[in-house]
Amino acid sequence: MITIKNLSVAYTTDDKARQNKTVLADIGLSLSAGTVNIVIGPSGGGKSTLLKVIAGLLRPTAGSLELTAADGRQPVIGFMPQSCGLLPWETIEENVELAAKLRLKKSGASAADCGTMKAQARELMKQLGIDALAGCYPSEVSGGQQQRAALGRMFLLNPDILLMDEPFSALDELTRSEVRQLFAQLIVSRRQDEARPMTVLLVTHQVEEAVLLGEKIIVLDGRVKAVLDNPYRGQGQASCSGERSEFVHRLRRLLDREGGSEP
Amino acid sequence: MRKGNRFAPLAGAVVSLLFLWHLAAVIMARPIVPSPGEVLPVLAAIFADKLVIHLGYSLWRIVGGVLLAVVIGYPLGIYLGYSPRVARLLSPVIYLTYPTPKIALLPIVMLLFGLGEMSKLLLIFLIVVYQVVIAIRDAAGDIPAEYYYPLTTLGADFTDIFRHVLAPATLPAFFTALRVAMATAVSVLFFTETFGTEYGLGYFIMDAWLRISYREMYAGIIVLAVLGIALFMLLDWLDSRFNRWQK
Repeated sequence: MITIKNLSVAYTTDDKARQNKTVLADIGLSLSAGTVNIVIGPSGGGKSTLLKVIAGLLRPTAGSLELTAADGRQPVIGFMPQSCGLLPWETIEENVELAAKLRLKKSGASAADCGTMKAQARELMKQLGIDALAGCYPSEVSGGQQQRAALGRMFLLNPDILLMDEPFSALDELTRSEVRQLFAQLIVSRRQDEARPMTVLLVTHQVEEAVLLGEKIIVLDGRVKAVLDNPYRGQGQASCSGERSEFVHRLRRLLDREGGSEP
Repeated sequence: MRKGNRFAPLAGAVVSLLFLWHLAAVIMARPIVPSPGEVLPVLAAIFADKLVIHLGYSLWRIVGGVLLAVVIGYPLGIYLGYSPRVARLLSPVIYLTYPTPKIALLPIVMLLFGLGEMSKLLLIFLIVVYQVVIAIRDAAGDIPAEYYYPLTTLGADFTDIFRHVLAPATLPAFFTALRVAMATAVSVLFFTETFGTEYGLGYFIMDAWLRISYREMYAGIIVLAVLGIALFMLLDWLDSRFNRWQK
């Protein structure tokens, strides 16, 4: 689970003016283990910054951040940046295995564990439809296939906390829809392992995506404007429920910078 | 590309150059420009007992100097590119010393290390090391932060970061730097072999010139050129082997 209290991130500009710019101000959040949470907000609202702070890639200027795994130990964090984060000099298969391999190395795994991991990687790649591309380099495959490889890497790692920064943004509509479905399927299969729940924090600026995927939706624009429970998860746009449309409408209003916030 | 196809253009180029040379010799008709037909038999005759020894000395000096430069320059470049703190301290020193032509340091090198092998190796080392350090430093510094994310979020140590990010990312720049440095190194080698030694292609060429043995001089020049080309091709091959992902 993730507990954030009074978190702020600010920096001083490099130019002569040396202005103090605040990216995140006084953020407070509490995310339960095993939930899928969406962070949505306008560009420049600090969504990526929040993810990076949680991932330990950025230090906050103020406030506290507490991350715990289900059994109280130090959680394993999986971070998927906006550009997928695939290493161009490693094959698709090597990229998918990278995070899991590093984790195994850190925990002093045996050769047998590595063998199991490789087999799981193959299985995952087959599920994602990229097993034929195992020996290719990222530059040789399409954007959608790269995204699947990045997803595969994250799910093979099976982290306690999964952070994804606009993971489907580079895809065309059709591929997006396919990959999102795969993502949903993988979440479902992970849910079945109650011993190790995975907390997901996904950044998007697409309202429909947020409503489709998230149990909780956090509207962020430098500060937390609203935290909404989403009862319409899994329901696509095609579902003509009036309440759903009203909910989407409410979200859009919150995203509007001039709009107010909800406590 | 099939092996046959790869060598055909090269063979064509060699034939064309030999033809142009022959043409020049015929047009100029002077003893200082012998034709390939006169030089190549001389080369064949003296290669096994004379030229090969000189070639060996030149090769050892180039390879030794370059290896030393890589062993010292590569880690230094990585360290400078990866650690902003170290870069802040050492970059001004590099900035000030890099533009100085290293060949101008020859008198100092000779005074400190004598006329022997050490000063020749050192001069080649000095020229190549700067190229390597700067190329690696810049390449390491240019690595997008996002490539480190999968590793730092999992608490990877420096060995993993080097193996998965720093080394492969800087390898293309490394080979480019070596290619450029190699060309300079060969010309510096020639210069350093004109004194304080009786071995080496530079010595052989100058000695043949002074003895007015022009055909032997040209033979020496050809062997030196072939040495340079061979080293270049070796680097190309290593580059293509290690950087397959760039294709």
